[in-house]
Amino acid sequence: MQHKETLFLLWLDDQLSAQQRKEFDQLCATDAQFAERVALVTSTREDASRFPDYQVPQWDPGQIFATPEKQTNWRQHWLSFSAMAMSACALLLVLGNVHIHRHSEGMTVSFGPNQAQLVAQFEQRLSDYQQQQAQALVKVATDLQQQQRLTNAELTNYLVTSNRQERREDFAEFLRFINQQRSDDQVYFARQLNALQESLYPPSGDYIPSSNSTTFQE
Amino acid sequence: MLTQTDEKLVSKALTGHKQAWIKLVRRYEKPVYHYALRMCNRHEDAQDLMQDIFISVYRNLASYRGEGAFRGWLFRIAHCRVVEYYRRKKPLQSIEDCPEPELEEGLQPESVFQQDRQGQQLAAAMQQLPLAQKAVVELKFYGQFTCDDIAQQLGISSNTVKSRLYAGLDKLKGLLEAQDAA
Repeated sequence: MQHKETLFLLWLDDQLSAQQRKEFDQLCATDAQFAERVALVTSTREDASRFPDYQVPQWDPGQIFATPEKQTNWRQHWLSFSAMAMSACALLLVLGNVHIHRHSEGMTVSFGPNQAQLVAQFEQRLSDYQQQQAQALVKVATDLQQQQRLTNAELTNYLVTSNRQERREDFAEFLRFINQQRSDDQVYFARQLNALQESLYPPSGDYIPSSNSTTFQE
Repeated sequence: MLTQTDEKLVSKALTGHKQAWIKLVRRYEKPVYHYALRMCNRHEDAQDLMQDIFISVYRNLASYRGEGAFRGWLFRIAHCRVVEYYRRKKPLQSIEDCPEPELEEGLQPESVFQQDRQGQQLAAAMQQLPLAQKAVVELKFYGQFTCDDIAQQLGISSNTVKSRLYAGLDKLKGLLEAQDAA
């Protein structure tokens, strides 16, 4: 069955070899169903080959050729012009150093250095400012240190002077106290001596102290 | 007189040689017109279809790489245009099972092919086949392509071609017998 199918298909495509042709003819002679199928194809082929020779209506194939070509050329030109315009525009943007910034309030078109250059400038200025600030800080610190030193010296002088003054006053006060104490002691001892004298020599009418007798004075 | 090959004419046409294009069209316009006529069964539609086919061929000419025969490539495009034609006629019907497209009742013109005229019986019977079978029978018996060529042109397997061919032949047999009986 498979072989029969293969033979039929090979015959259908006109690809039978001599040996296959023999087998095919044998099959046609022995197999009525196969022969009927072959006959159908043969008659179909014959009918197809007798198809009337209808004339093609007049038409101009050149119109097909012209129309797309023109369209292609136009497209090519359009593309060339648009490419050229875009290139020129891009060149202007680059040479003009145009920057388009988009922010919340809208868009800004700027001409000039680009963002990196701006950042570099900003950083340079910031660095200069930092140096100036550092120098100023050093100067302020030095001035402050010197001022502090002067203040310390003045304070020390003041302390030494006032201390000396206080000590002098203290000593004077102390001497006055000692003198006062000695004066008081002298008075005390004089009284004691007087008391002792009186106890030794009770005062009476008959007692007349000698001229060389001594009365203790305060 | 030496005849230029199809490939030579195609390459000339691609370089802008109009005469080469016209020569190429003239070489194939009759087979294409007959193919269109058998597929759509109307002279007016066949003429439009033929022009559509050649417009498509021209637009796709640059994509033809000469790997197969130009004739096979041409009929592959022709089949695509025929499918589009059927789709326009019956947009909601499956193309595979689509029989001869019909106009509204009362507007149906007379068929091009007469069943009682020699050489037209097969073409008349073919109009009753679904498009899938009709395309295979057309390419096999009128186009005289091999089954493998047909499979390549229609984008289907060889086995599908064979089964459609056998189914078409069986149906044609019945239709032709009925014509003979009438």
